[in-house]
Amino acid sequence: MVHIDERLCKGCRLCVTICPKNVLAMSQRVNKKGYTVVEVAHPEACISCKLCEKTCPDFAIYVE
Amino acid sequence: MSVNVNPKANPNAKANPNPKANPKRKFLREEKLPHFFCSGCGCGQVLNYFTQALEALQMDVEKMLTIGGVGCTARMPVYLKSDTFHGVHGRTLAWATGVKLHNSEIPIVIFAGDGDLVSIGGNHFIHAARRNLDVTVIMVNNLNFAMTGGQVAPTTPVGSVTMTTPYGNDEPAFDVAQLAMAAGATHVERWTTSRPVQCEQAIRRALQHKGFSLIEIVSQCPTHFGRYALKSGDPGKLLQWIHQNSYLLDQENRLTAEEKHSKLACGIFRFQAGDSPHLEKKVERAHKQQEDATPNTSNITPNNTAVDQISTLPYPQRLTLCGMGGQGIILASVLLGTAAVTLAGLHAVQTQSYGSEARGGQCQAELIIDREPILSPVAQKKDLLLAMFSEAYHKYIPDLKEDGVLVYDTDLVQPESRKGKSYGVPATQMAVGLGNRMAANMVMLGFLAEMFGVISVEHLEQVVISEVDERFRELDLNAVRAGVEFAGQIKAQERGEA
Repeated sequence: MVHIDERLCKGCRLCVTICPKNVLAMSQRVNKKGYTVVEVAHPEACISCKLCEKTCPDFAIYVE
Repeated sequence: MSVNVNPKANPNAKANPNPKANPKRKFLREEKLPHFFCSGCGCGQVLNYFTQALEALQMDVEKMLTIGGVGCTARMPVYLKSDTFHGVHGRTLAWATGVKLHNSEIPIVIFAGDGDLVSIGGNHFIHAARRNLDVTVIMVNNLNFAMTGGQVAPTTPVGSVTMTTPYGNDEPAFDVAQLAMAAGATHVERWTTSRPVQCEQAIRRALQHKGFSLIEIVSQCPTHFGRYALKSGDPGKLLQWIHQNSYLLDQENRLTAEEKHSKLACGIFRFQAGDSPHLEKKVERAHKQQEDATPNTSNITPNNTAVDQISTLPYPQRLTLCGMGGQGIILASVLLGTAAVTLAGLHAVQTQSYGSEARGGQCQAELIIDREPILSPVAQKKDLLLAMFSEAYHKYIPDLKEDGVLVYDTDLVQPESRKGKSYGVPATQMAVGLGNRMAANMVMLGFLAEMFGVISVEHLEQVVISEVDERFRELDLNAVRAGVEFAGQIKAQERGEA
């Protein structure tokens, strides 16, 4: 399961770019800092490769 | 790679209210998050790779020292729960050298950008590599000076447009990995932020390596380099550009020169495992030599009460000895300091300055003697001024306290009247009488020892015997005794007057 801490997300889309299964996508939500945050669009497709967690510059993602 | 915008994104969808935190945040100062890096900055990614390596190695971040100079990358230590230095531009390795000399056990990690490490701090970098200092250097190479607004850096690729090179950069870029290897680093790797797993493993190797490790991580700068040089601020696209403009060392032989042209090689350039750091060995050797050379001090333990009784000047004693080059001013101060440290068990600091003339110019030595360790080699106001030359007297008398003691050579200095005590000693005349005018400094030392107990006469004689050239020993000892005798007469006079 992918956890996204929207407080820390800066909407850089690196996780969206790196995910091999297109699990993540940009949402239409904006956080307190004004960034459009990422969301888990297809949780069922996740293979827990943790590439998003490893690549996130903002420590906003945790893959359980 | 197309950016995947969720077509079914529900504008009313709620965020997970209690997302589980990334456990690697335990290495970070939680209250500082979110960090100051721009959206999509490679520095954040490298910080992430670093915490992954810490987790894998089960290292205690609070027992580490991380150092940052100036720049975006240099901010990284601020977010780690380690001890941190953050300050002057480019001097990270100088601090690390100092810390290592003091305590070689502390693991030190330096986070530096390309501008910090190889432009401003270039000389520190090559010499730390040459010395094989036992530190891990993580250089985030974002190909420009990012914090100051995207100026050209020594690592900017040829032809790139930056803020300061609007028609493209003409100068060839530094190959930092090759530079480190040429300088003698024992562990050199280069990776890109587009390779998270390799970066993490590289940092892990570096943290375990004994010796100088350079991990260069080529990183995207969406705010400056991306927008100026690549005309895109999208971190994903920049990551792709970096990936395409690098190749693996393993593939080197399979690629043609054209394919490799102006691309950066990634991989392990050098990894000499088990190589022990030279600097550490040197320090160990120096400590051993010092131990062997230091005489057994157990039988001359400092006896502070005895010292107190001798010295009529309160501690710390701040002295200036000044005169003409060739009078032995520096030697006199060195002898006093040596006696104070090695024989009386006190602390002493000596600094000296003199003109470029070998003989005849002004020269002065400052000496501080104290019972406590001395933290500054400079004292603003002096307790005692010894002047043996008129010009030097005029130059240094303003530094003497109003009630400080002046000791001067009666033939060479004509002092003005002042509030504090002044003592004239015909030292040069007495030395001429003893056969050599060069011994005037010894007459003065004898006077200082007997009159004020700066050090005891006994210690002074011992230090003259051990430090002065054999040819002059007899003369100097006689001069010291003459000075002591003169001080005795002055003291008797003072007692008589009292």
